[in-house]
Amino acid sequence: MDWRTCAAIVAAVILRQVLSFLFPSLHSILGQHVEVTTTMTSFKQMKEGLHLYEIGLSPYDGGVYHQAPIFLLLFKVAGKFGPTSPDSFITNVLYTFADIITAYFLCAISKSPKLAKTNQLPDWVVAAIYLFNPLVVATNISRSTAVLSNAAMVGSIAYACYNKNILSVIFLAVASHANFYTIYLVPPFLLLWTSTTNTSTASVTKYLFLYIMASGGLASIGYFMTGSWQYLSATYGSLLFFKDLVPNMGLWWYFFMEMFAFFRPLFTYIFQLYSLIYVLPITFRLHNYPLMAITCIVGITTISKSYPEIGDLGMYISLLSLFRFIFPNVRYALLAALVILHSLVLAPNFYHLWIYLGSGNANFIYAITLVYAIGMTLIVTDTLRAALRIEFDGGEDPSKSVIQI
Amino acid sequence: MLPPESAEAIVLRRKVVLSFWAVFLFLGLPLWFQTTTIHRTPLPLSVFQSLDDELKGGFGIRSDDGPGIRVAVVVKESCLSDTTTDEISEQVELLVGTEENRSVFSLQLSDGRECRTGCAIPKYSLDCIISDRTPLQKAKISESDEIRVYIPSQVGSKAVIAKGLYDAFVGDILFFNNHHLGSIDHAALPDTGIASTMYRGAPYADAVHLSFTLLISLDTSVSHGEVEVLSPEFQSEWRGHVEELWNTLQSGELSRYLSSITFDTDIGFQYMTDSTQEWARLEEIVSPDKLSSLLDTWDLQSITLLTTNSKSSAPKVLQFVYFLPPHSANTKSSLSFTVANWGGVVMAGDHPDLHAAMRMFARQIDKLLSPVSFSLADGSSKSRKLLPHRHEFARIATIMNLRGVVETLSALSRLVSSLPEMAVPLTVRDLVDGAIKEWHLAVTYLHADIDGVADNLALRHAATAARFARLAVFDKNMMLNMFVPFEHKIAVYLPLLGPVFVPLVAGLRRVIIESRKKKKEKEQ
Repeated sequence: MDWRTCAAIVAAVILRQVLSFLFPSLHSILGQHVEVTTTMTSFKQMKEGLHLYEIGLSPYDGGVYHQAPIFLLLFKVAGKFGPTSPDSFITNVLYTFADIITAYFLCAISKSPKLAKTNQLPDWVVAAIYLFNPLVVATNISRSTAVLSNAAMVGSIAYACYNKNILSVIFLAVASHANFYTIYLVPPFLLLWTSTTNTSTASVTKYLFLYIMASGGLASIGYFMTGSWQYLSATYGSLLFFKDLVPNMGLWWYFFMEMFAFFRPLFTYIFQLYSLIYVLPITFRLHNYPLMAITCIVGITTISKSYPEIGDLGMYISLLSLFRFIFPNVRYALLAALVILHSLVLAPNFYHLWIYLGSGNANFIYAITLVYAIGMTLIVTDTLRAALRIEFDGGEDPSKSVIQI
Repeated sequence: MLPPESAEAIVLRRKVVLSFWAVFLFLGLPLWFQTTTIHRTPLPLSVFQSLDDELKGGFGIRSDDGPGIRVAVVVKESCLSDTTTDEISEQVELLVGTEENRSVFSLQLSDGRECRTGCAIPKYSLDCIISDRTPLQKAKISESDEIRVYIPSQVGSKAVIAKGLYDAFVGDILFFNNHHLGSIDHAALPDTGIASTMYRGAPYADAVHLSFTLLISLDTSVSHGEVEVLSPEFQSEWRGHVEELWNTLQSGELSRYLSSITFDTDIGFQYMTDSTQEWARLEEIVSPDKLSSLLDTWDLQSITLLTTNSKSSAPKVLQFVYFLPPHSANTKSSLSFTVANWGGVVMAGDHPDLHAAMRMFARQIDKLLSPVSFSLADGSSKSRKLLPHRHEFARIATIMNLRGVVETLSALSRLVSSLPEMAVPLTVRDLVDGAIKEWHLAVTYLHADIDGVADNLALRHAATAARFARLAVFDKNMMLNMFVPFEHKIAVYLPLLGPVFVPLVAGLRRVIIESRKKKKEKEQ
């Protein structure tokens, strides 16, 4: 790691500490914004769940806590070293460390021996794109637990790039346990894990089995912590069946507010299927470029998941920074950037108009989420098209097998 | 122009298209059918008709136990010449003894429904028939309050007199007859459907409803639960106050009127609630202290709303408790119940006419206590006492509930039959089965336990059956999945699935064309 990268990391740490100590109310302010956190990642709800867990009650009773039990374990352990309020030292260290480690993993992926050495952004730029991305910083300050699940996901990719497949499987299982939609990354990860060996049925089965065992182990931890399997319904059930109807940056909530109860199950399944249906085709199409496939699927789930937040976009942009190679072929970068920018600026204003001032209505914020989705769709389709164009053109390096995007 | 696709690219494209279709066919279609299939649990529609047939048989109501009531009949002198007491007695007995008349009687309700129920004529014994010109002293009529005097409206032969007597006897049973109570709107059994308009549909949320609540004390030594006869002393005192109310309306008189109401806390009263028809302790609803404080704070200048009604949506009710002391000395173990809203006046608006309201209220009390009065030739007057029968209340309420169950279930069957696309969840079937089971239990108790009114098991089961039937019709899972027209479904599915379906079909079409082309090339 060169000095520029270290400097970027140090600057990011300082930035986070300054924001945390100079503006302690920023945690709660951002934590209440529906664009930054959702009920599935809210730190406040995590604290409530932790409190219920510590006094011996099930945190999943009452419909307040919807996050994975692993967070309860993590913050219970962290609580032994000090208070775990949003502005406490321990929480600050934990979240800053999560961001640093994510940036480190991104740098590691960027320097991966499998990645082409040409036309790559320097490590410090990759780290800076992640660490100083306002979306990522806001997500970190709001203490959203998505920071932790993203760290696990990126770690899984990094270990896979360096052929440490067992660790990659474990990290992916942790990421899936924390954020259900990470499970969609299993097919491209299977390609990544089996890229060093032959993609035979035996090797695929081996890694799939390892993944299932790791996930099962984590699920069992949840069972032993809570005493029942009820937490599955409260966590994954709430996510999959959209039980908590609250506004967010996604497209779901408005539909379910308006529709008849007769169509609700159908729409729930259709919307979830819409996320799932792209996984296999993208994996097939980009079977030579599993990292790109992973990035595309991350982008698609960011658009179509039930409880998206701006941290997902920040993560997607950071993953895109690994593919400097495709940037010249991207056509609508400015348009997409402006669309996203406008939607991110207007979203909190329209939400405030609707909820606090009462002079707006749900259509205001929903229109902005539609604009946000259009911007995201532009980015995803444009980058995918750019990657396919490079594949079609044969890429800059005449040996396509060397270049892995 | 683009270079031709390589074989590898074609295979890859085929895999992509087929993977889309695989998810759509093996996951999407089954989920679509699963989530849009209307689940209709079969209901026992044929059983509903049999319930109605069972009701038509009627249920007996006995009120002929206890001491016979001696009746003296006063007729016009011209009719008496060829009429003897024995002959008329025989004819009345003939009419009373007719099985058909005894077993089935048609009760006409205010909403036009007819309930066929059984009744029996009380043991009236014809004491004597006297001419209207005969002095009562010479007629050897007993002066006790158990004498009833009837003046048949029609004159004529003994058959006419007998029929008139029979009608009067039968009419005595029917406490819900318009003639007795003046207006059926003010008479109600709890939740019977006969009339409870004071609660349901009352448009004045801030009205004060002066309700007359009849508290009847029963001595447990009376097995069949007949109400004790009003003691003459109490009745005359009450009538005195009513007359005072009729003429004047001053705060002082009203206070005196209200203070005459006594409330004995040593006697346990049970209160039949309107909605559940279950027995509850009256003290839980209106305690003596609360009643006293309510009466003390009554302010005529500005109507103070004094709530004694647990229903928040009903108009405020002030219960005037009319307490009938038990006939026997054994008061400690008495069992009582109230017939709520026996009468009353609804006053609405900012300045209601309390004068007129109290006058009407007093008239209702008067009519209730002594509906028939007449003057004899010697100038004395006689009045007929009302003997409400608790078990008849309970049985008629039971029958009303059973009738309601049949109608509710019939409505459910019509609803389900007319809307083939309406869901019928399993919960509805469970409720219907529960209603039918409770219905049969109520009928069993009605048939078997004609005297056992202490627990009112038939009424409880009937009330439960009625509740289950109502819940079945208004089951939220059924109502939420109400009939959605087919064209509405198309309007929803088309924009949802169309944009996804078009590229899928286009991709599949291309795959099929390529496969056929390849096959032709191979054949060639």
